[in-house]
Amino acid sequence: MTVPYENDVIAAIATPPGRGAVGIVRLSGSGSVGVVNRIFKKTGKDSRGCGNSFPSYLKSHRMYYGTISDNGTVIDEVMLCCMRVPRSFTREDVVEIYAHGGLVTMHGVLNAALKNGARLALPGEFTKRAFLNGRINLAQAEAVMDLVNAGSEAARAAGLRQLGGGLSGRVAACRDTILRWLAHIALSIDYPEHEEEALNRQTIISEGQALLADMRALLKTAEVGRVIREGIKTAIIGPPNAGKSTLLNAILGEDRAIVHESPGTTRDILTERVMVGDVPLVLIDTAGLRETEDPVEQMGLDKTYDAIKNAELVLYVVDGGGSSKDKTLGALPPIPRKLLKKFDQNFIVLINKCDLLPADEWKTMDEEIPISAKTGQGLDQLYDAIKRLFLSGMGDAGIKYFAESDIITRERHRALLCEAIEYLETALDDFGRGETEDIAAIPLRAAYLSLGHILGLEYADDIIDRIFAEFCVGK
Amino acid sequence: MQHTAFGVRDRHIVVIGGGHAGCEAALAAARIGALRGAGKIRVTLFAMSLDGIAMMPCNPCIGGSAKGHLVREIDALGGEMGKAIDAAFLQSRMLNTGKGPAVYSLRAQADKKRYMAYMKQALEREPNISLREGEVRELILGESSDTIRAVRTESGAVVACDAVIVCSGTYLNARCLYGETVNDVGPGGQRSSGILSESLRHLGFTLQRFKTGTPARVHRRSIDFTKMAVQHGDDKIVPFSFGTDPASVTREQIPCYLTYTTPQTHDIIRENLHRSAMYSGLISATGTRYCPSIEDKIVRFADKERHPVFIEPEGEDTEEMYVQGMSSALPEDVQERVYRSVPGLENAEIMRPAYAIEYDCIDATQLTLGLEAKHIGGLFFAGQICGSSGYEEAAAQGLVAGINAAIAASGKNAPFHITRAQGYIGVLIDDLVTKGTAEPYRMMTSRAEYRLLLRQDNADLRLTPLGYQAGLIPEERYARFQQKKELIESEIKRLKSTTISPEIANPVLAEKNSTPLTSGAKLADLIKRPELDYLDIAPLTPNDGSPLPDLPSYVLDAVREQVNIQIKYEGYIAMQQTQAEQIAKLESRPLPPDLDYEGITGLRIEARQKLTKHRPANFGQASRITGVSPADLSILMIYLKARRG
Repeated sequence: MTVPYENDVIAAIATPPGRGAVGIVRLSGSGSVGVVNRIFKKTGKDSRGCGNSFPSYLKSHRMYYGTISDNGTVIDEVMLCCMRVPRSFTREDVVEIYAHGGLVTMHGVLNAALKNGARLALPGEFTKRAFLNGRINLAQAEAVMDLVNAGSEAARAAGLRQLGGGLSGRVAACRDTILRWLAHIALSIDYPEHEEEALNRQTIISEGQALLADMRALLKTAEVGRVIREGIKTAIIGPPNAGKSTLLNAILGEDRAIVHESPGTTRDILTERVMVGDVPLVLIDTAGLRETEDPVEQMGLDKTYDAIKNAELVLYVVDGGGSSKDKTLGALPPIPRKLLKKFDQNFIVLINKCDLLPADEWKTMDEEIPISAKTGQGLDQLYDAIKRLFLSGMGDAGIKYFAESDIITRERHRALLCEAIEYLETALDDFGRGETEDIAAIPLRAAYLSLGHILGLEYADDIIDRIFAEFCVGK
Repeated sequence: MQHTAFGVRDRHIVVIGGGHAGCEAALAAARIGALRGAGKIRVTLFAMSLDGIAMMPCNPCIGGSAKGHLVREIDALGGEMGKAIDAAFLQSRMLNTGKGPAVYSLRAQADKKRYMAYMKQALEREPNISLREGEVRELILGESSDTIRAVRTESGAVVACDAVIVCSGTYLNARCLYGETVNDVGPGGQRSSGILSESLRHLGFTLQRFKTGTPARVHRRSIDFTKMAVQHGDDKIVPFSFGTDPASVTREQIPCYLTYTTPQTHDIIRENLHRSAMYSGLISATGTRYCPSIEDKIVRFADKERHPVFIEPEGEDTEEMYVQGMSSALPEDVQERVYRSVPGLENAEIMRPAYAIEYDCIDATQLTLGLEAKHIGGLFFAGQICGSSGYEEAAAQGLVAGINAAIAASGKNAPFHITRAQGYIGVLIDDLVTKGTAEPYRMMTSRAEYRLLLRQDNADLRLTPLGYQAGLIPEERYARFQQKKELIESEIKRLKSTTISPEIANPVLAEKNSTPLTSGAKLADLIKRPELDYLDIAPLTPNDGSPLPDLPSYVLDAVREQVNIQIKYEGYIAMQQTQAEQIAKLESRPLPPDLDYEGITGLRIEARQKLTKHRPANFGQASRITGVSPADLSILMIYLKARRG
């Protein structure tokens, strides 16, 4: 069981999810200043910090300006305030980091704290500490009780529901592999007379590499989930009159859940945020691509190239039914080849105006998706293709999971997965160095527990159950 | 009619049963009384037969993985089992030596008769223990019905007492079965007792029916050992007791033998399965996965080609041999054919048939961590009656129950309890009373969270101070322990602070294929290298010449081993220590015994029910109850804080 230990350092994003100019990451616990000391560097002449003198010069209730780094990489410029015991919300040492809003930055700051000694706060945990330390009264605390209860139970139930299918199956499979090893190790230790059933160390090492690869792949899907949370930046490009704006309108028109609309940074580029099924897109319409000598038009093109560079998905629209007949990739002259290569994976070619094409010609076009922006034909295929690109391997449940689950749950899962990977690496390293199985089993068991927490499973006697299910032992 | 057979003096503790739990319980309670002098404690141990004291009705061995740890812990606390087996072993082996420091496990073959004689005499020589043959049939409560007052024996005698420890083993309503034969007796053909079961039920205990079994004993002369692999004992003996000098127990050891079942064995069993008491419907009790019968093995693991069979001596003064791995409830004629299908046993002459046994035990979740009934003060339980299996598990509980009975009889209210981070004994008792068990419970290393802290080599460092506080360790022994402990600490300090130069270190490093030094290094850092250990490094720079304390050489060996392990595994030990300390915070946070969980809004219904049923002593114990979530714990903390204001 994960037990809420007291006094250890907890951290969480304190501002609500979504875009904001500033977001707050809050830490609480007697070691919170120490955690911050490892990731914060004060800017200016007196650039102490990231060293040993930090805690003493950091005065309570004063703002400091500097940067947060993770492993040497600067994540953000921040303001930071420390509130010393007992003059804080929780009556523990509290540090608040004011970073630039936006999920990537906020998660970066939070992750840096988590990697340096903090753990992710449980729902309602700051308030709970505030109550336990006598900072708030019972009436307030009762509200928190509901929150704690609802928070953790609902989150677990929801997490399980959303995880159902592909993703949870993959986590469960990884966990099961480790359980199998642990059972073998336990067997070898608890029943030394049944040596013949013991698992070979080399087997664990080689299976372990495959398992690590699986887990890292899983972790990647979690990163993707974050991108998706923010919306996939999608540039719609193509020659003039290929139907780019019609496509934009078709996507927008079909889905009424327009989040917000804002003019682009220039007249030539317009961005729209839209939900396509469960996947959020940030659509960027661009100027038509064509060779030009006109310096003004060239400026517009440069902006289009910039948009392509920054995009995570490029929809290349060509006219498949009209006079130009430029329906294959080979016939896409204006875009520099290297730019195309850069978008190797996240690049979808759309053959527009397919309603004008004879039906038998469609079938020959495997690589591209024939659509009609005008009639809406083929848009479903486009959406499926987007899902495949960004959510491959996760299945529908995974897509729902990323779309619906709340930030904490997801961040918790990601942190646990990272933890499990690190433990597994340590264990495999131990095995590789010839360390005894009893020692290597320590990080292995930790990895097993972390994966179990993702699934909301507590440690039970499952190692022992597994021994007796799989091996014939006993006197 | 009631009459008093024994006059009541200051404090009187009654122990029911003279098995491994009863022996340790009686010795612990009596010794605490003698050592503390806090009012004399007199112990009466009732046994159905005094010839059955410390009987080993199943395998002739003590220790093994995790069980060996238990014996070392019992010894560290001042118990007797370690000394008894050191006096009575036929063969001794340290198992798992290649698998890591935490799981080294001592296992010794016992001379059963010698073991029993040793233990009986230990009880007889203890001034405040009376051994008494007789059956206790009834537990009698005081007027308020929440404390024990007396027990009634088969003769009707009412024996007044301040505490009772029930160590009835597998004898309550015991039935031994094989084939169609059913005998209403306990192990070894001894009388069973049905009436005490009724008394327990009457007092509000939930009884469960468990099942276990034992293999046949075969005459030595009928075995062809040339067809088996021989297993010898270790050349270098490590005794179980921290106080036993290995030199004093070195003796000629008797070998064991290993053979395997054959396809023919499996065919005979399959053809006759319907005749086994286990499969004919005669037995309804819950069996154990820890000692399956050979029938179970064949049925559950049908595609396994062979199962190991170990032949072990029962003693030096007997020709009976124990056939480990062949427990069965098949009828005698089938047993004979099954045994004779095993290489080396072709002419096996069965002396005692294998049998299954079923018996009553209580639901241990009705007990506190001190093994006292939650609803009846002064009534303690230990051993198989609590749902465990094994001699060592029983003895460990007996020791703890004995200590607590002495505390309770003295009118004190500070129960003795070992945490999960302090010992396997803590894991064992916490598992039994917190989670309960649905089958006979066997100790396993995988049950312990902090295995690296709970090594068999450091059992004394972990527990002897607790045994001393409890009043079980005499001053003189404690002083010796302190010397050893200080020596370990000072040597570790020296190795961590002493720098060695490349000139001195490199020749040794080269010899051991270890990367040479380019500048000075701490001795401790060299010891941490996998290819090096204490004995390679420590002599390179001798200590400052201060004389070693006057300790026997085997103790100095133990010190060296201890220093080596503590330095080598420092990182992982520290990691588990931190985890254990975090949990300890929860363990030290008590839950009031009278808390009305039903009245706490916010607790989920399942949690309310479980907490009401189990009444955990503290948050740590509550956290291990299935069905109680971290959120429930948070709510409890908030509720209690609010109640206190």
